[in-house]
Amino acid sequence: MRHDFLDKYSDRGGPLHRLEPRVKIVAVAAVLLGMNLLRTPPAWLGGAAAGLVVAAVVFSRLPFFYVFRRAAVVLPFALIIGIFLPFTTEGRALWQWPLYGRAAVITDAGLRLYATVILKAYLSLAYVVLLLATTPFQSLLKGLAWFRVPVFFLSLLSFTYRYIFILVEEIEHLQRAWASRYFGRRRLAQFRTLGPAVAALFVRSYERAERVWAAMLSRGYDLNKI
Amino acid sequence: MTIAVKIRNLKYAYPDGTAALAGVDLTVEEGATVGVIGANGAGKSTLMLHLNGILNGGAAVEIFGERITRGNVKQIRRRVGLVFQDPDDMLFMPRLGDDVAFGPRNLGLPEDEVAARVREALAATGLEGYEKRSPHHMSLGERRRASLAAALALRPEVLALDEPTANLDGRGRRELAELLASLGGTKIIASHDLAFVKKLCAGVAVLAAGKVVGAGPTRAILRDEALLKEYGLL
Repeated sequence: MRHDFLDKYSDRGGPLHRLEPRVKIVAVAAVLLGMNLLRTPPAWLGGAAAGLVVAAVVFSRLPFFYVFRRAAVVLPFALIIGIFLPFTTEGRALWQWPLYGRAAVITDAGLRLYATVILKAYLSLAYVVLLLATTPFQSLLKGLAWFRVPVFFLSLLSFTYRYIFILVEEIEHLQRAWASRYFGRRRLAQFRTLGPAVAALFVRSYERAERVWAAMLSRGYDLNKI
Repeated sequence: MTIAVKIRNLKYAYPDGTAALAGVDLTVEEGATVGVIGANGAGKSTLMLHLNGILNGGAAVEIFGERITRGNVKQIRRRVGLVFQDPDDMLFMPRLGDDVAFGPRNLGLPEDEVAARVREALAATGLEGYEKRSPHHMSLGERRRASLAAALALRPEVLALDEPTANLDGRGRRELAELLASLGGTKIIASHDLAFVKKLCAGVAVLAAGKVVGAGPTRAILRDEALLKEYGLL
């Protein structure tokens, strides 16, 4: 079973790939901060941020849709988190319905804010994906270390990067084992088996962690020295 | 003749009370290749974890004549290299080169020495040029050899391998056997792969329910069908 790595395009020789990781980290951090600290950035700024990331993708010879498809994972979260914004923001009423004796009102300013939040989230992630796609994960960690990000946090990232795929594989194994013996019972019964399956995953991960720790100690790892 | 590993009446129970080892005796001479054979659950892995002090055997375990204490456990771990059954437990870095360098770096060696150790270990395991490969994208056979390289980078005097052929195909087994035969030093191989043990080990100990129930020259033990059947090896 093979999975895509977060940084699978990071060894392509594009101009952004050759850029010093620390410069990229600062640039992306600046864009993210700038974009997210403004409550409602002017449209031209949003357009510029979008144009810049599109240009960067083309410029660094990444597969065009890769970055934008990856970034789309944030959309369900952004859509749900912002769902009440159109109702709770003051502005000109566009639609309204009666709701329990009061009125639910969607305002123009609310819709605009909602769209802004979604776009901000999407563009932010697009920039992060761009950073990951043009920087090998190890160089990124080294860059972060230079900015004094605590080593503990960096090892956590490094482990997550390494083991997320093994975890995904274990989920797949459980899923397959489950599907092979599932013969179509009621939906509620399916949920009842989900609990033990999740528990099994936890136990497996826990045991894996214990073994990895033992393997690290075996090669002279010393927590006090990092 | 130096005794590399001496184990006397080693007992171990897991925290939940399950006895894993119930008085193991085992002596391994320096330079020997010894097999520890036993069915699943016989206690092989638990025994291996005692060889470098991951599990504390107290006075029952002596490595080159020394008990493992807090003071010398790091030295012991440098001298005894443990190769885990699942390579994914040992290879946790995004790039193999960093995984193999993990041990030497923990020793505090300078970077050029670390790089030399990595090259040496990868060459010994037939993985030259794999420094930048990601362990996750390697075959199981390659990962097995890679985890061996990770242990070899510390230049251990004793190499302890836990089920080195588990899930390996024919070629993987053969290549691993050839590779291990080419390495010097003391080797302890825990396995229930009798053909593999026969190929590599001069002597074997049969482990069952946490005890050594038979030991001797490999040929003699492997010819004892009744013994092998009784302890679930045949």
